[in-house]
Amino acid sequence: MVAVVLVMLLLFESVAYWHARNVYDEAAAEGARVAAAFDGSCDDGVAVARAVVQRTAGSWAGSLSITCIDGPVVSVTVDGRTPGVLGSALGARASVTETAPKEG
Amino acid sequence: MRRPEWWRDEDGVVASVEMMYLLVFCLAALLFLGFLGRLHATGIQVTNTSQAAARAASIAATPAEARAAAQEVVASSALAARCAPSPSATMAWQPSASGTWRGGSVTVRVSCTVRNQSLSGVWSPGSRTITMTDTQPIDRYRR
Repeated sequence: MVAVVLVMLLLFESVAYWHARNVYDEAAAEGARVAAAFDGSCDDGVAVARAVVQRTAGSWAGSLSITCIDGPVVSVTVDGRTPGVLGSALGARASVTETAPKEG
Repeated sequence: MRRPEWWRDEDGVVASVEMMYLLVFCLAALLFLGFLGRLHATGIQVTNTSQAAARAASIAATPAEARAAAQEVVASSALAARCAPSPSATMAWQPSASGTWRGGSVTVRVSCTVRNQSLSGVWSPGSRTITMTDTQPIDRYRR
């Protein structure tokens, strides 16, 4: 019985993880797109990615870290906590990197 | 007094067996969830790559350069590590009203075949092909 409950909680935790990962992926893709634009920069990309996370997951996205690497291919990485089903302390971390070729 | 079997409780109910079925179902659901999650993540990645490739093609000066730019974007994306074999990109374009490259539109189609085993995390046969298409207007102005 206990094992079943634990596995079901793991199931819920997995759903929360994938949802969080999708949000971070969307933010990273948007950030990379903006940073890679002809008149864009890494600062713009990071700001946009942070705004996307705040807009869609502002209530639970904790200890967010967004990094951007400029170059011929711009890379934006969003790393943050996922919402824990039984409490925020139980959440895992999700890290997503998206790239886009720099225009110009 | 007859000792109850391990799979029956004191009332003779086969609760343990039911719980075992439920546990197996939950484990299978967990694996399936992981499969769907990775499949969805790959779909997002293919979508983003097709958008980036179409954008790169749209700012090229000629169709030949555009094709090369799109293929370079796909080859340098993270899809190269995920798809087996490597992802493929095809390009098609519509000329402008005056028949020129500039002012028309370019469409890039990216296909990625992923093995089910890499999606589910456990042995599973077969593979899935994810195809995404993106169209961008071709830039009128040369930088």
